[in-house]
Amino acid sequence: MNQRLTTNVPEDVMELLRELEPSISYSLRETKKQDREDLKQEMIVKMLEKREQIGYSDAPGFWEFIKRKTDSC
Amino acid sequence: MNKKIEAFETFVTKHQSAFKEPVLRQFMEQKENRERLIDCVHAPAENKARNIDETFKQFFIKKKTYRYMKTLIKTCAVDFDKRRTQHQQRFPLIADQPLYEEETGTDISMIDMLQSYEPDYVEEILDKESDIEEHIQSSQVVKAVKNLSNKQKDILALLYIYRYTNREAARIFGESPQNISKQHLQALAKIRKRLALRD
Repeated sequence: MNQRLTTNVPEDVMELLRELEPSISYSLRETKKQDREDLKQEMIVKMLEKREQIGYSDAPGFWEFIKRKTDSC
Repeated sequence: MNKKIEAFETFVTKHQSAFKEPVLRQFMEQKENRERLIDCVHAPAENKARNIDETFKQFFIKKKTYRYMKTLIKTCAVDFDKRRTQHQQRFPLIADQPLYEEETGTDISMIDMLQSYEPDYVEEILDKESDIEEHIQSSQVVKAVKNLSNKQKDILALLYIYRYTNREAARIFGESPQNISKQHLQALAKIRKRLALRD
């Protein structure tokens, strides 16, 4: 039950969490102090879950982006 | 060198609506990306184009993820609080059990019936013995203060007489500390304005 976590967290995940640290702290303000740790854990878990689900396939490349935005005006 | 910049600027002008997009602007703020694009426009090559393409894609995904996560964080917090409140309502602690009084229709809970050794802040505020006016020496300032709203006077009294912090005052009024500070500063501005008019 109390196994140590042996998998290494990938660097980009760590970077994401670091960048979002201020947003997380800000959103924790309105929760009672005793619940903040719980909420933070929930947030991080949700973020890691959803990270997989974000669509990478439909991200435009540079030239496609230029073309799209130029045509649409 | 100038030819390169010229060609680049022509390119940008041609696609100016695209370059107005925040994503692209941020992408261009990075020196490396800008230099690569200038180079590619000047001397196009497939590998260069692909390089920029890939870099932008990664950048775009990163920004998209970041935006998504920010929203996710907010909704997660709201959701969490909702669940906690719901849970507390469904399974209230004994002290929080409501004691609904039919005649007065007040919502009090058992905890309100318990005696506290702490001072009742609300009562202290309603006890108008310590009006802010009585603590001011200058009669001119007193006149200026008289024209403030009751709430502003209460806030001034809390902050200056009772030496409460913004946070403590916020808790009493059920507002944010920023709001208390704002009203405090507005009250001071009003007083100054009044005094300036007199002179």
